[in-house]
Amino acid sequence: MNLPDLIGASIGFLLTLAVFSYLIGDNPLFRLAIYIFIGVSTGYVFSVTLYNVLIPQLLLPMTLGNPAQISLALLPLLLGGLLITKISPRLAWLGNFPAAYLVGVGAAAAVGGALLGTLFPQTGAAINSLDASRNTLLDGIILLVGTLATLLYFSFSARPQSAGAAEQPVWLSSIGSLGQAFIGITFGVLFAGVYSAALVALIERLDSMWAFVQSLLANL
Amino acid sequence: MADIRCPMCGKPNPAERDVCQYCQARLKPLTAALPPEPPKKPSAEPPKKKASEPAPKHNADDWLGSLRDQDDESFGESGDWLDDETLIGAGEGERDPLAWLSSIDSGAAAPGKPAEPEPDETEWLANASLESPASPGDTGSFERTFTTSSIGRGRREDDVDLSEWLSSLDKDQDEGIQVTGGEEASDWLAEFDTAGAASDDREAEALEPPVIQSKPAEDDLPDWLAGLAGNYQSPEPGFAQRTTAQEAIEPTQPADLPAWLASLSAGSGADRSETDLPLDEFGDGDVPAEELPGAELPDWIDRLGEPAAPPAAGEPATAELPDWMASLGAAGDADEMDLSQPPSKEKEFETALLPDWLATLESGAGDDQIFEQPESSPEPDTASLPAWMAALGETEPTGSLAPEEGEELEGEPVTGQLSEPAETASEPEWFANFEQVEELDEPPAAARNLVDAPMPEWLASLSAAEAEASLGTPAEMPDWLQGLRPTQDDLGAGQLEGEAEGADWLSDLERGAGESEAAEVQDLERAASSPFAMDGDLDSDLESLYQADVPDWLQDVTTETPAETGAVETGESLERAELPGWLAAMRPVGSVSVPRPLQEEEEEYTEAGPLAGLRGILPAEPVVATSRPKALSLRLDLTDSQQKHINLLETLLASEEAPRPAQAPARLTPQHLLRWVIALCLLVAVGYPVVTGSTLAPLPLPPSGVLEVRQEIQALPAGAPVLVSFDYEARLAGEMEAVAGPVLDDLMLRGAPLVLISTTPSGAFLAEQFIQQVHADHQYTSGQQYLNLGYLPGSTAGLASFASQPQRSAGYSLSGYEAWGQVPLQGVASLADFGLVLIITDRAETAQAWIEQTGNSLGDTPLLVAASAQAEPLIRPYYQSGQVKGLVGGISGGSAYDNLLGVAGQARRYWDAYQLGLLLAVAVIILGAAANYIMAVLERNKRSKGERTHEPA
Repeated sequence: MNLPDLIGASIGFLLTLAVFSYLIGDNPLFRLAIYIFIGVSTGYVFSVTLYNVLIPQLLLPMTLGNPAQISLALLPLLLGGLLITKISPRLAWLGNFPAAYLVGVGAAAAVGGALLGTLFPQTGAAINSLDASRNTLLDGIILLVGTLATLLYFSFSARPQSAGAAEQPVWLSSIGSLGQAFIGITFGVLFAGVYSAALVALIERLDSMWAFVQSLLANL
Repeated sequence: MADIRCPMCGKPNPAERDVCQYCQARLKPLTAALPPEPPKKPSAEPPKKKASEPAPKHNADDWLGSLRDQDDESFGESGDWLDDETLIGAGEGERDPLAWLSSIDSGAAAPGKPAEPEPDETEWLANASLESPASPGDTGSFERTFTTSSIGRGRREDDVDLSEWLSSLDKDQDEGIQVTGGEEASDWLAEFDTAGAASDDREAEALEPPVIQSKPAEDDLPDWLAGLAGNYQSPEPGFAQRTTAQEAIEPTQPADLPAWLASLSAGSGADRSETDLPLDEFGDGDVPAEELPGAELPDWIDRLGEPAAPPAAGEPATAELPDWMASLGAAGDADEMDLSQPPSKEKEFETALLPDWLATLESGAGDDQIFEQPESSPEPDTASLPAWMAALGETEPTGSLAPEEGEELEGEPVTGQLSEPAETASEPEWFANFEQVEELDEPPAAARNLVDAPMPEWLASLSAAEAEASLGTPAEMPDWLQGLRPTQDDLGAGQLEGEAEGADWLSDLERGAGESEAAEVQDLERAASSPFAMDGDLDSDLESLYQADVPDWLQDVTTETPAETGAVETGESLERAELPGWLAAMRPVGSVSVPRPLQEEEEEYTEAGPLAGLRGILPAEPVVATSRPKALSLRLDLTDSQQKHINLLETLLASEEAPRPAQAPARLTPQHLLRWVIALCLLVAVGYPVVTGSTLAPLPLPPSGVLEVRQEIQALPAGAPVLVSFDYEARLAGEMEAVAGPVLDDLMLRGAPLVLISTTPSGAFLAEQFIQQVHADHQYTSGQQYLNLGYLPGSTAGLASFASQPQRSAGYSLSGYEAWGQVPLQGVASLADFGLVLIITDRAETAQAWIEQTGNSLGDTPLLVAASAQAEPLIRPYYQSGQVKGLVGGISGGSAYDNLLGVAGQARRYWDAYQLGLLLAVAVIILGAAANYIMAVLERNKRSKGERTHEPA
């Protein structure tokens, strides 16, 4: 292990221990590690943005590009400059134009992608899952029941009764309870996925630390 | 015997009573019991005089004549007993200071001698007289001014002749003024002069030696006295405003008064600013000497100039002198005591009833001890002097009359204490009386009684003129008052009948009212003017003595008794019914209720205030005092329950405002213990496989998604570029490397060119780090086997843009070079040109964005996803829908892929630890659920037991 790797591994080891110190409660070491991560991440993002966005896509076209590239580069420059005016409350209204442009373009892209990439394909897939020719009928049924039960669970309408109290029909409440079960299972699966990811991260950290210790022991 | 009406309550009392039997007020002044012999001497002569007649020069019956004879016998024929040689050569104390009075007489006996101005007056003396005191509080100036004025007054009386002995005083000063009080009989005069010289010296700011300053004048008078006389010729203007008596004198001056009195009145009302004599009252009789013809002087004053007989050795001066003169010193002493505070009412009353010299004879008996004699001053000198002169001699050398300069000159300590009383001591009695008349503005009865007191003829005429002036001359009187006055006169002496002509309707009304009503009106006026007049022998005697001195109309007013004043109180006999009709109509009849006068038994003693002890005093509140309003209590009556509620509310409010102490977090709680136990178990369970490198747990079988990934990779054409998107954060780099590692290892084993891109800023460097470190054994080179396009900004829009125009959106590599001309991107114009698109992500949203935005642009290019375990459940529908061709999810997917590849990758190293971690988690969940269930059962049982016990049997 060379010196830079040793220094990096040592810093990683200490920061890992600092984060683990949260087991005994909030402490300065944990806060120090958190602040370091936030600072490093911010600096890292700025450098990436500078070197991967501004320089190649704004400065280089304006300096080295042809007039068409330059003119095209002026538009994002103008919008970017107006977006900076959001810092000043007096000039924030100037930043509304690029913000509106970004939101509009982003919303359009999201809506188009959701319709074409999620809603229609997923609807088709749900329908296709019930295709008897496929071996996914059970999955399709479970998918259908689960989907319907979850949707009916969020149905809060009820007919008024003679006594004045509003109660949902029994079948609707029963399906709603089934949908609640599907929702519970879904959240359980998601939680298990989160726990699994965190557990793997823990294992990776322990493995890294053990590797550092092994390297230290090997160099000693 | 006539009753005496109480001056306070107005009720009649027996004549023998000294105090009122009702209000305990004094009925008779103390001086009333004195032997009447001394006052009858001066009172016997003045009534013979008319006010208009000039005063005789000499009066053979004057008691002062004997005094002069005695002086002549003692000093021989020489009247200039105070000339230079006599004063210097004579032994100290041998001369009687009364001899200077002879010079007064001689000076006055030369009526035709004009008043010669003193051309060679010493300027410092003149300035001293002219200068006013520095300030009202300047006592030194005050005393000096008085000193000079007193001396100047004596000088004015005898003018030039008197200046002889005074010039000798200056000569004494020229000789160094080494005379002390114990060495010379006239030492007090020397000091007197010295004091004046010293004061002038100070004011002239010369501070020259007294020898130079007291240079004897060529004429008879010393300069300083001449200056004083000259100053006094400039009367004080403001003096008349303060002395009501002199105001009354002024109109009568030309007709009734002698010349010197005329000048007196003129001087009293003249300019004060020039002389600025602070003791104006002592200068009332100061008349310029040149305006005092001896023929107009009263005889008793003329006799003052005759040489007086020297007193016998060892005999008090008061025994030899006339009583009034002997009392001068005592009176002066008494006045000295009263100067500091206004005279009491009782004393004024007494003084007004009796001649001043008689009053002072009684009151000034024991006041000599007030003044302290200088140690060097011999007693025989004082004894040989008249009392008032003795007081003057005693006082002036002492106290503040001898200023600091005087002390320096004399070389003797000044031990005097009183300075102001000396001013009073130096004035003659008749001046004191005149002064009292001036001071007695309120009540007017005091002044009236003072007029009634025995006085010389000239003073009686002065009083008459004053009274007349106070009432106004007939020309000045309004018509109604003129009409009223003849009515009084008609009822009295009837001397002013002619003045009743031209009376208006009111005078006619008075005449028509009859004698009874006129008498009542007369009583009313008399009561108003002299409420303290007494009935009885004393009063009648006094009136009989001086009846000839006062004008008749004034005599009538004086002799009236206030016995009938009761009619005035009711006002029944007044002209109520004779009001004009128009005025009667305007009268608010019926709206005013006349309070009933209090009966004697109803009258009560006044308990507080300045009138305490008197009875019959009108109360502060009217008789018909309104009843006091009922006092309303401001206290709120509360019941016990209300008070409890108030207390409760106050307690609640206080508790709301009181800060609650922050509870310190407990160091050790069951949750902390449980958390530490779980953490410890997890560390042990996960750490143990990591440390031991255990690979005991079997690898999972590859699911369908992994298998399809494997198939797509195997179906990838050779040299086809693969677009790999590293969209995960560093925190999950360990998992993502374990998940995507086998897939990338498979691609790299196949030698597929890799084009790396990331929609997160950190993804580009994670991708670089992944290729260079994790799979360093494949020896992929940037620009050759792989190309890192870096960060793709714009999120969803950026992905859409990249999907449509990848070259425009990501034209440069991470190192800044043109990306689309490099080897990995050769032949690639769109996403469809890539052989495979692999998305490595830890978030389902990123995978969803890729799927949605690039789904239509991929064409036949399969889209594979290697996702984290937390994102796999949400991405799986896309896999099941066919939008994603293959899916590797979580470490299980990575381990399955490793298992599929048959290599022991990173996922394999983590698999045992992961399995133990999962087992531990499952165990904790089960144990936790079991514990929760047990606790719930116990709680339920406890409740059921409690309900049973509480249920009635």
